[in-house]
This record gives sequence, structure tokens and C-alpha cells, in this order.
Amino acid sequence: MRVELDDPHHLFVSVLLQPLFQKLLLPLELRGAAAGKKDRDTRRKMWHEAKQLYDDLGLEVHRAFTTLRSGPGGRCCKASRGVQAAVLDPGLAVAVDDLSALKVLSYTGMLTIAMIIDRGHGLDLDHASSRRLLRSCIVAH
Amino acid sequence: MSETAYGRLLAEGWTPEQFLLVENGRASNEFDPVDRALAKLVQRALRGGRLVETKQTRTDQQLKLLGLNPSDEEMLASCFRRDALQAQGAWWIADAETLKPAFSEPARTDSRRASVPCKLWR
Repeated sequence: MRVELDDPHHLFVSVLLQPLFQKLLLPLELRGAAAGKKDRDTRRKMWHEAKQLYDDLGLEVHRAFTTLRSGPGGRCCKASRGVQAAVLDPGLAVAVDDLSALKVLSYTGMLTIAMIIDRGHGLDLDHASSRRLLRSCIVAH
Repeated sequence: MSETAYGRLLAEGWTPEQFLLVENGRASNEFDPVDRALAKLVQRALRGGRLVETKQTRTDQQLKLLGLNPSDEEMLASCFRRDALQAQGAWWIADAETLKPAFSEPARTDSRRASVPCKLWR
């Protein structure tokens, strides 16, 4: 949708919210609609960009990214089972398929950003509630 | 907002120590309201809530952020006014832009509205 940027809401979404979510959801984009549509170099660059964000957030996602990147490249991933959410959270030993792993990945990224921002703002995002949120994300799948 | 712009302080504080002083001291207070509003929106997304509401008027399309309180609205009005920002030198802000509201609503993302698989989210 095309909007005028003279509205503060539009400007906030344009310069802050949308770029943040686009970066967080880039793995979904790469394994979703963009799968097979970009050339190899572009895909590699985009995966690197996505991983850089999660690395910067301090999340250990190397195995998850490796599995997701090496899945079927020409279409949306649906089959390859076995990616574990434990890759993202060692305490969360639930075997899930790669779609759920993507979902957890993005939610974990969001959660981490919320926790980073949380410092000093008194939002209720302790470790226990983080785990509950992650579990609910998987159960809701 | 502070009296001196953050960018000007950074330009003056060129050593890493000065940079950190600016970052840890003044800047954190300056950006608190923005951080708080952003955190609220990220939390809302985590809980599967809608972040934005879109509306089509006769002449244009509009988008409104949901779940903000009056102080957040005040922050938006003071920090995200295009004319004020342009007056301070932010000439790069365009008059209009194409947004993808579905990217801000992962829980409701639909393949017709964005390029993220619709069944990925509940």
C-alpha cells in the first residue's frame, strides 16, 4: 500500500518498524516466496545478512541456518524433518519440522529484541515467560 | 527531547570514550520513548496481536499503529513529523512510500498480501 509519509504513524512504520520486521523475517522470505527466484550470489548475500542480524542479537543459530539453507532451494520448505528447536534454545528439547524452526527462529529474534529494549523499561519478559512464549509458538503451529 | 541533537553530540565526541559517554548517558534518555513504543509493538507481535490497522479513504490509504498509549502518540507526533525532520536536514525522507503492512503482522501474514507463506503462522 502506498502512503503519504506526512503522517507520523506512516513514517514510524516506514523507517523503523518495517525494516526491523523485514530483517527478522528474512529467513522466512528466503524459504518462502523468494525461494528459487534469486540467483545464488544474491541468496548467499541475503542469508549472510539474515544470519548477521541473529548473530548480532547474540543468538546461536548457526546449525538452524545451515539446515534451512541446505533444504530444497527451488520451492518452499515443507519436508525435511528433524530440525530441533533445541538449536535455538538448548532447554527446549522439542523436535519440530523446519517450518516450525523458521517460526521459532523469527519469534526468538523478536523476543531477543524485546528483551534488549526491555532493559530499564520494566516489561515483563523474564526467562520463564520467554520459554512459555516459545512453547506457545510451537504448540500453535 | 534534549536541547542538543544526538548527531551533533556524536560529531563532537569523536573518541570512543566520548562516544560511549554520549551513548550511555544522554542518548539512552533521549531514545527511551521510542524504545518503549517499539518494545510494546514487538511484544504485541509476539503475542499474535495486530500491529497496524489499514484504511482506504476516497483519496488515499492510511495506516494506524495499534496499542499505543497517549504518551506514545505524543512521541510519534514529536519525533516522527516529516516536516520537522526535513527542517533539521533529513532531506532523504520521501513524500510517499510503499509499505507492506503484512510484514508488521506476522501472525496474520497472508500470501496475497506479502511474500511470506500464509500457513507458516497460525
